[in-house]
Amino acid sequence: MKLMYGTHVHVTRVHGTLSLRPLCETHACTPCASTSLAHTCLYVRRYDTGSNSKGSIMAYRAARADNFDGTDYSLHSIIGAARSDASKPMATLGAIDGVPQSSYWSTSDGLDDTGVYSYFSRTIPADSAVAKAAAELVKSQGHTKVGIAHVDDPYGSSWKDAFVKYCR
Amino acid sequence: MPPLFTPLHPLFTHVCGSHPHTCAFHSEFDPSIQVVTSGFVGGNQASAENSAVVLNSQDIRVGFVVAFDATFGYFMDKAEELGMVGPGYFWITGDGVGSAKIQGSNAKQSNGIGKMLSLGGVPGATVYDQFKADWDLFDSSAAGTALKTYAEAMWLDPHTADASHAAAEGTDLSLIGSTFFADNAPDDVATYAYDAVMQHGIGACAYKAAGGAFDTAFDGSAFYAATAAVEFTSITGSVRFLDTTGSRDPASSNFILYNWQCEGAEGLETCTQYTAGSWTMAGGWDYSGGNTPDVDTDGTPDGFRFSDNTLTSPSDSPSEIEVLKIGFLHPFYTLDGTDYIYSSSGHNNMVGSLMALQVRTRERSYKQTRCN
Repeated sequence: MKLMYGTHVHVTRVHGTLSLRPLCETHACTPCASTSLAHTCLYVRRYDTGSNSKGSIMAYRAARADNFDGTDYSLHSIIGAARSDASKPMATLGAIDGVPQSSYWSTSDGLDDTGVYSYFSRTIPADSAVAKAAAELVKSQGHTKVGIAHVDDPYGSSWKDAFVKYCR
Repeated sequence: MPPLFTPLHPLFTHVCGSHPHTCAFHSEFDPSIQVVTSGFVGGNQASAENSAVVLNSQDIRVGFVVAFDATFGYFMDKAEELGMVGPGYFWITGDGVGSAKIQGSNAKQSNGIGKMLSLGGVPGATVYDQFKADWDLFDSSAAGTALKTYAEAMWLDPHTADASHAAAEGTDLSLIGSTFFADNAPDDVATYAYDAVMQHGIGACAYKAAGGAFDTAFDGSAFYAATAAVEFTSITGSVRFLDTTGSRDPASSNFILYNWQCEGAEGLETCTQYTAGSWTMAGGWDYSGGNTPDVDTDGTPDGFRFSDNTLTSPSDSPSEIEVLKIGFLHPFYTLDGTDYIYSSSGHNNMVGSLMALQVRTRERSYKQTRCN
């Protein structure tokens, strides 16, 4: 199986990429539970999304064009991207091309739109959960007026929208 | 600049700045919590600073900063300049801001700040502890050398898609092989990324067991269905996905509230990140499992300590001066006239109702201020 790992590395997030090594490296094999099945070998390559939509599309196209181990088999799956702003265009293309994707850090509720992102999943919960926790926190402290300064992208806007919803 | 009467009818406010991306500011009002929001352009210093100005103009004392490291810094620096940090103010940020960023800020900004996020791995859980033990091995020379070789191959290879972003931006490989891993536990990104790979590995097994193939007969739809259907116990707990969306079931995740507390002489403070509480979908907030200092020596963690070093969240209500300002703007709605607004059938339109609520809130604040 050929995996694309989409991320944008910088030192404070170095853990994310490093964490892959124990499991998959570049040619590691995962033993399946059934002994009648061959091991599933993961061929992983990392592509830099730049944490933005343009970089995400370029990374996706590069991965699709890459023949990995010399065969002509196409990309099978995507791990990432990190930010929602980068995952959205990648998930759109993945839905068109039939490439499953699983993000580890994209939390925008907008990615729950299965009509558009039909091959997208994620191991981190969507923003609505943590926004609900945030709303319950300020309510429990008796606050009646709070502010949100948010980055105006899919992550920040989704967080804000969910928080406002739970404050009502 | 917001219109003069914005604070009195925020439902109808939509203010756009000269820059198109500063148009996101708007205010919303409801009987339970009034939420004032201000969007800014990612990475844009002026835009992030403008958000601080906007929230300050709305007299925000309690707020969230949903940002990444750089813009969080821009916002907080401006907030400090405006006197919006320290006692009387309470700021919370999220997973976009690294703990190192908060640690690197000055103590006036960091003391009493909160950080709320979906935690990922939980120390003490069996699988996490196993992962952490392997993680620490990377500090040994053999494992460190192997990892450095891997990192150089993976980070400095030609797979960088966007030439404007260097693959190794900010990455210091010299950290590997020292005590980097022992000093830095796997963060939320690391643990969720690991589980994403696990999801695909286990999903691939299920896909193959059902007759799927990873060759020219690859069926992306069937493989996606297999990966979304897996359930497994891993670093971040019991991993499972919602049938309707493919997103991680929030009921199977861990949410945490960190609290930064700073001690020491001015300019020499030491700031520490503590766990103040946790939250689950089923149980709500639980502050019993934190590790905040037990200053009152009652044998249990004190809980969240705010920027004034008390355990009481600051007031989010306007000060007495601003109550008087309302009176100035609307001399016919003085505080003495509040009962008139409540009872008057002549002021039964929506604006009147909103103003009554607003004045009632401010009156309560006024009384609290007077009592203090």
